[in-house]
Amino acid sequence: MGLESHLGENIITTTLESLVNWGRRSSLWPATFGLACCAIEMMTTCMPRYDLARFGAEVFRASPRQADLMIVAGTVSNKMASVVRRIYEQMAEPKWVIAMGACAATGGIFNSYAVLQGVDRIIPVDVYVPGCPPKPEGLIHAIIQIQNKIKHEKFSDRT
Amino acid sequence: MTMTKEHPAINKLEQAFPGVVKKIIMACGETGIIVDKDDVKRVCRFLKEDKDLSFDLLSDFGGVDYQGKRDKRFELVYQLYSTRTHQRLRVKTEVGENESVPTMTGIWRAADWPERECHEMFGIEFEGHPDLMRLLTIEEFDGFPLRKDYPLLGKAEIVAGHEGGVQWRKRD
Repeated sequence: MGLESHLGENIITTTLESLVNWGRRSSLWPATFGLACCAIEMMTTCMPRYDLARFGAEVFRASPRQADLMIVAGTVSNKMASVVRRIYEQMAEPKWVIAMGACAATGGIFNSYAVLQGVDRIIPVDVYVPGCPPKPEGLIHAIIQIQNKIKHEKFSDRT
Repeated sequence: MTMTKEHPAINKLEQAFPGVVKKIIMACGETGIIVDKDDVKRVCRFLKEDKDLSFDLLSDFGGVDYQGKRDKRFELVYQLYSTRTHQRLRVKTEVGENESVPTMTGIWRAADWPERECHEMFGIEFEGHPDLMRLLTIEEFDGFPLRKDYPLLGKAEIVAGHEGGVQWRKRD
């Protein structure tokens, strides 16, 4: 078995890529960023019944500079659009985005002059969660999807 | 709730300014009056300052667009309430396009933001208003969205801009 037989039982070898991806996906820090009613479901997701801590993504940060997951939870009004974009830009790489709910994904029922018709018009979105609002299970599923995505990322994907 | 003819404000108004009340409207047991746009300020000041009426609270204010249905396009609606007598009164006035109305901020401070919103949504000018700055839409916004002829999705849309901002792109 080559290298392992020389290192003994206390050392595991892996690729740097797997190690880094393991670290990144196991402690996703979401930015506290609720815009509308979806935020209530996002809070519920952190509460004891659903307990987002089970998936290592419960450390909601008030500062985008300390977060690596942006959960766009709710309706993005046109007035809010520049703020959303700025918060996204302030987050350090690598970063991921969940568009939570029908409004963040497509504008939802608000087909109007005042609402951005999907947050993917201003920032790249990794996972869309349908629902109005989505149940906490839906958000947890989205976070697991993000974790799966991180698991298979290559360093060469980010230049 | 006071029936129309018993509403104390109407008799008082008729005594103070004969002929100022153009029309009395009863709706769901609530009393409303229509006055001319040039009279609305002195009527409102009287309604507030009269000792028996004392409509000291402007509980709401807003506009309506009657495009194509009336000669004068807009209607302004003042919802008054007296915290002393617990009476309510609705004062309406009609305003044409490109006409201005006097501000009520000197009578009720509460008129400030609703008038800003009304200006922003309908494009009605309020003479003497301290600051008619936009309230709800962004500064680059084009047009008056609550006018009936305004396109539902607006005249421009937001797209990602350069260097971490957003920018407006006119719709085709």
